[in-house]
Amino acid sequence: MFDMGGPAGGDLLDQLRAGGLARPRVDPDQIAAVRSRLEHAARAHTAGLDPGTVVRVSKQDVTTILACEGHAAAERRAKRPPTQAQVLGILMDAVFRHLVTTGSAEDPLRVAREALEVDAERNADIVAYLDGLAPGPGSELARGVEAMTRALTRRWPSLPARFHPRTQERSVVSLAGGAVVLSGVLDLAIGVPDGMSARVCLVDVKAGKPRVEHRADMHFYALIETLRSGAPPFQVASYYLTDGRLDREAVTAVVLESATRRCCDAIERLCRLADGKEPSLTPNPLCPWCAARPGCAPGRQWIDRKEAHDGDA
Amino acid sequence: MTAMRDALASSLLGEAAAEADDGSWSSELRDMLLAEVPGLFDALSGRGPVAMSAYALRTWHRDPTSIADLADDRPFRWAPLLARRSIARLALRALGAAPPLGPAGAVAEVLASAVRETDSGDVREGSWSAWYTALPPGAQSVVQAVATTWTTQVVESLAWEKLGAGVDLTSASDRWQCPARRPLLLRSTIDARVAVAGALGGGGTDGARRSDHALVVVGGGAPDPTGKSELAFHALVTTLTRNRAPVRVLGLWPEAGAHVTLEVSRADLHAAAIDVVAAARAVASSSASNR
Repeated sequence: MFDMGGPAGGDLLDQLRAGGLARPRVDPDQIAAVRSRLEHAARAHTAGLDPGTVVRVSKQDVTTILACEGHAAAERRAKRPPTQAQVLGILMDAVFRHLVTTGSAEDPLRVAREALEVDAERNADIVAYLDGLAPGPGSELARGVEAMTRALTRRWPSLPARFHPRTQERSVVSLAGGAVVLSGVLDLAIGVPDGMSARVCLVDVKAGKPRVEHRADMHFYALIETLRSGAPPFQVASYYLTDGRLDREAVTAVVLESATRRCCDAIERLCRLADGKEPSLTPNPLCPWCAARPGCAPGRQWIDRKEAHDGDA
Repeated sequence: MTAMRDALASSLLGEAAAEADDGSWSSELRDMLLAEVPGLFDALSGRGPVAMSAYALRTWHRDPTSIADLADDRPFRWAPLLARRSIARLALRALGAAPPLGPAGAVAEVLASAVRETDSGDVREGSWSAWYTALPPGAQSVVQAVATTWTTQVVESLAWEKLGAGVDLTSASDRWQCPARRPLLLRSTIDARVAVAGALGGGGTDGARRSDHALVVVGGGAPDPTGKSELAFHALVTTLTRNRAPVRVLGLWPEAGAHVTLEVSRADLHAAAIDVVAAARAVASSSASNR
């Protein structure tokens, strides 16, 4: 399950701070242009909504609505219990935060559970999931947490105080007078924006396998950090607990452009849903997991074709 | 961000606008509230005062039906997001220690001190210190992490070091109770009180004491469209408590990179008092209809 070959200690620290890489200068005109485009999209698409309607946009919302409006609508309606993979991810986020904060991660399952229980109202569904575990899957989950924590503590460096590490940092961007709110919570931010050059690195910790949308997620984080602080991060990265790989990407004008375009598109579609419009259906690889699958003809056809193709292969 | 935090510090310290409290505003406001509020809650069940905070007013602005909750006597429960502000205020003071501590070090020092004081019986029951000390390690680290992140964001938002000796981070809360059989308690939590240089020690030509301080209030998330009303509420409670209106209130929302400044006028304070009365009436009528 685990590849112990990823970078560790000083190498990882070097990757986090992108040693030797010049920090790009902040371009205020570019940032103003990005904000202006998002403001324009938010104002245009919320104009017809009921007063007081707030359209909330997270990285998950962007990915889901751009894949299929029907899927996004179904996900918002469905109150599905968390899966074991999701619970593992949440527990590992808690362990990671504990490690960065205290420098140790002993007895990780207990520590993670305590972390969730201190805010029991917010984490009620996860705590209920843990309470309801039968011994079998519980043990599997515990083994997963133990193994990932062992790998994490072997590799993850102690972060110097001058990095100003912040865990679970929340960023919010309000558009169109609060009618659209972009928000995200980062597992780790290091460095402090100074307004002149890009000095922040954003890291999201992943307990699962690398997926194509992870980079787009990080672009969304880069976008809201840019708008919040007035300076883009110099780098965004996903840290994969299974193999210790840090998938890094420099935040360039192209990255911000792509994130802005996706975000404007997502705002338009989310506003359509908020206005009660019929969602458009776009078959895609998420169809097998979609809550609307039973009643979605294009989705079922897509799954049938995929299964037939896989069978042939 | 550096330029912005410097500019905010300079504007915070700027001289008072032409219209400044000559000491008469507080009695006007008190008379106004005393004429409207007493008796409003007499018919409600429960015995404690009905407490009203900036948060409650914001919630009421968003959803007027939510206001009835204020009359409940439900006990307050700490959570990491609620404790972070108190911890950050103390951490801001600790940041000036020698050798200098960063935000993480300052928060760690504040929390260690809270544990020591709790263990020696020096904290009051129900305080965040007592709550924090009783938590298991995994929960304590969440509080530490949340407070560290918040403190770092607060430090980034304003050039605190430029506020000099005139910044007071100790008197965090103002409370004013409107007397009645079941009273209304106005509660304002602020993050700093800052002496305004131009007015320090000032007395007007008529000998009346003039405004000489500004307030800093740090909030979570992004400011509502009613952000200025919220700042006016803080100014109102300070005026009622200290008999002198602040010159201005700076609201910071670090998670949104946003700030709003209210140059406090008599009209702002009157509007805030009208808001309080309207919300109090809503509490009274909503609670009465729920019984």
